[in-house]
Amino acid sequence: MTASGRSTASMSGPMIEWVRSICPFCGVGCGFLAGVERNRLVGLEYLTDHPVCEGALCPKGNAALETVHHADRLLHPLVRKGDGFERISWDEALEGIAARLLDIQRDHGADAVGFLASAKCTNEENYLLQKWARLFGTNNIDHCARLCHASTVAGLARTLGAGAMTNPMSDVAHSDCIFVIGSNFTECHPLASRWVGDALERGAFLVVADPRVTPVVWQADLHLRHRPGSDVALLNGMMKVILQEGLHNEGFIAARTSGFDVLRQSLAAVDLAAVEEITGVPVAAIQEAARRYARAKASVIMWSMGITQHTTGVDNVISLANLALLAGHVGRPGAGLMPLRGQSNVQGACDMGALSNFLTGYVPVTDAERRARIAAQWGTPELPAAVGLTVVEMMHAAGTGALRALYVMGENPMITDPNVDHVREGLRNLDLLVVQDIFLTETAELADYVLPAALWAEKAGSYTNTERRVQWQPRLIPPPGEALPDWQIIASMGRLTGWADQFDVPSPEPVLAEINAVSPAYRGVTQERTQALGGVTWPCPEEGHPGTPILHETRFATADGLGHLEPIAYRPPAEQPDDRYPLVLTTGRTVLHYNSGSMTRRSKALLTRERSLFVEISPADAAQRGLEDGQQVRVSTRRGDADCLARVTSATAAGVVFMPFHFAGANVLTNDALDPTAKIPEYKVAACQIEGLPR
Amino acid sequence: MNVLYLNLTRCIYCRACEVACEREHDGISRVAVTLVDPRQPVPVSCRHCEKHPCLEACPETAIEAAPGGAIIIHTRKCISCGLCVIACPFGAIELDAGGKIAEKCDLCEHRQRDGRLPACLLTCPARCIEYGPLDDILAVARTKPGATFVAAMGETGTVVTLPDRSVPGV
Repeated sequence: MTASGRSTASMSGPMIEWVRSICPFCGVGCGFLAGVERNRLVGLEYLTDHPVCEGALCPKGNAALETVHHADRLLHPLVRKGDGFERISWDEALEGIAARLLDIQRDHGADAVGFLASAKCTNEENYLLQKWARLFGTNNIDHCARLCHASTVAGLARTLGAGAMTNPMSDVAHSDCIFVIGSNFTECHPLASRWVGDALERGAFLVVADPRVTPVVWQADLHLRHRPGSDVALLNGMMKVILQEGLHNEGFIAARTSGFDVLRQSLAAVDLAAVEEITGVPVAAIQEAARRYARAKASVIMWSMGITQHTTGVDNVISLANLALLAGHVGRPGAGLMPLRGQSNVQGACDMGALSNFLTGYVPVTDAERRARIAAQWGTPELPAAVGLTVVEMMHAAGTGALRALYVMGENPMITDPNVDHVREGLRNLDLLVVQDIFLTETAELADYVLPAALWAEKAGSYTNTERRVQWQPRLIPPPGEALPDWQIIASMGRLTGWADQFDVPSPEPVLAEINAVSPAYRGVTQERTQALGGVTWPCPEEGHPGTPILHETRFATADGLGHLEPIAYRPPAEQPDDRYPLVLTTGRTVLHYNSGSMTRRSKALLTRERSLFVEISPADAAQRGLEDGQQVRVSTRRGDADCLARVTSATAAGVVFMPFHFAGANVLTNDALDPTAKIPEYKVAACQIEGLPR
Repeated sequence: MNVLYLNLTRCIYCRACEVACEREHDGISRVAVTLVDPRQPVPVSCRHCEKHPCLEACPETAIEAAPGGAIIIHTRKCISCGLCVIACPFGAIELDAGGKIAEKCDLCEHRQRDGRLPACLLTCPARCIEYGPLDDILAVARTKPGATFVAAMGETGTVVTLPDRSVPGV
């Protein structure tokens, strides 16, 4: 094996080149060897010396090659003709799109155009797309991070100064108490189970707060089955107990935080009996959780969408930061805050500035001085200063006509955005919808232009995993048909819309060099470093810097270097159950599928094991409605209805039902009410009703 | 003599072993992870028993106890009588889709031939599976929380650790 991760071997017959690759699914960033023979991927082998996964792969990783040579791949640019599409040349497509974008810019202004970046694309591609959007004249650039960890980015930036996971995933093995809240990592980030399992065998205590009995709960020492949307109340209750019993870390609070007195005053007003009433969790269990978390030598908090996808998402994250700061559990091995990020490059897409409020390196678009510095690097006198539209706001603006065009790189909002019927209306209302993707997704079906894109194995570039670890994926095979890498398509669009000098991009490598120059945290993240086994972890402020696996060891990333405690009051979810919709619907992932399912629903191995949409309902709620396990049912909310199979299971509590969002239907039901700061929708709470359908 | 070790206190029912096995064996998995109670998954596959009723039941010489400890079905000698399927106390042998050939875990014989470990072991995200000499496995198993026993016919075979909550009477 060479340093860049290539070796040739005859492991299974003819000469196959085995090349180190990064799994294209979740944010864990596992590595494997892809076997290349005559421009095709012919095999997958485990990479036991990879530091993230030690060779392991979840079922999705094992199926990663199934989508590559799939018969459904898009091979040619398409243009809408009536209800169908017609094949056109790349020149016709790119020139046609550029002309219409420039027309809309001239007639309605640049803010009438929106751009969706992709957490499945490389850092270089996301950097180029957000740069193009801003040079085009708008901050209407966003991506699915808005739908998953926008609350984390905003909440941790306010409290700790950096919206990212503080410790490497494997560090959980060194924790003495693991507090999991709103994360089903056994299904969504299966590799985390490896390190949690190690910690448990060492005697660590596992507390899981989740309305459902997920496989994480199977291994828990203590399960807090709180009601969806009651997280702030639960966390305030835990902090109340910590202060009452003097379990807070006075030395840490004095030396490293601000705002303690205000937080203490606000917690004094918290009544534990009221917390039990709101959360449904007995006071004794809250006390036990608080004591275990605060007293352990090193405690870690792991969370995901169960925390973030609420209208109180930012409040939830700030509450977690408050808890960690009170107990002094941050900045040490085994002690930290671990938001588990969802996509292979969602951390990177955020780092690159594919967000409507941040330029590259989390420079606020409203910061005139730092914005001017980036403008100078991009050869323009000024960049747009107003915060742009977020993902869900773009769909709303498309509905009202404020947004006239949407350029989508590898996202599928027709499956993944909340209130899908409304999304469809918005997308249909646009003058121009462009979708570049690897398959004709549900969103691409509505497009005016469809551009065939290369997937992970067909292009080079870097990906940043949930640990802030940046790893290089080399190009293994050529794209099928006329498909092109996303960076190449975006660069062409940039040149055709007036920025020839800024988008003279022969390959991804010079783009990474430009990122090194623009983003201080990425300064030393060179291509050579990212090619090494396990890559390099930002912040890496200069060439030769070893990288920074653990954040906040001596100082927080805030301006004053302190962790900011901030009192948070409990607010209920946007939608409450009532007589017509008496159940609470919460949504999430399953282990066998990935997000919009455009890849995993095309895998035979995965689809045969999980075929279609289902709803989990408690035995009590099923009996009340006369429903049987396996029966066809209709789930309805104020926004629409979806038919699926009922799974009667005690894994869900009475009053709560669960649906995965990988299949069409689930997001017809979800609520597009937003967190006021992070603008993340409340996927986790929707009032619903369920009725049986005739057999 | 190498044996498999399944530490089921760690199993998360992700079924990566199934998908990996299927990929290594021409689209047919020889392991099926099953929930034996609502919170305890158990992978059902060949235990490679020391006493092997499948081999005894085979009217041909299609089943071999290989020197390394693996029980191997030589599919070319299989006459699809199905007796081994009936004899297996673990339900780990099945006839293939066409009802022709008995199939079960071969401990990735084809991988071990060129020095690679079984796929299920390498792929398991939760690190539930190990493979090695019996004494080494028992030494490891003794350090794990839970109840450890040999789940096989005879004194050796597959060593399994289950969480205490899943073991009746504990």
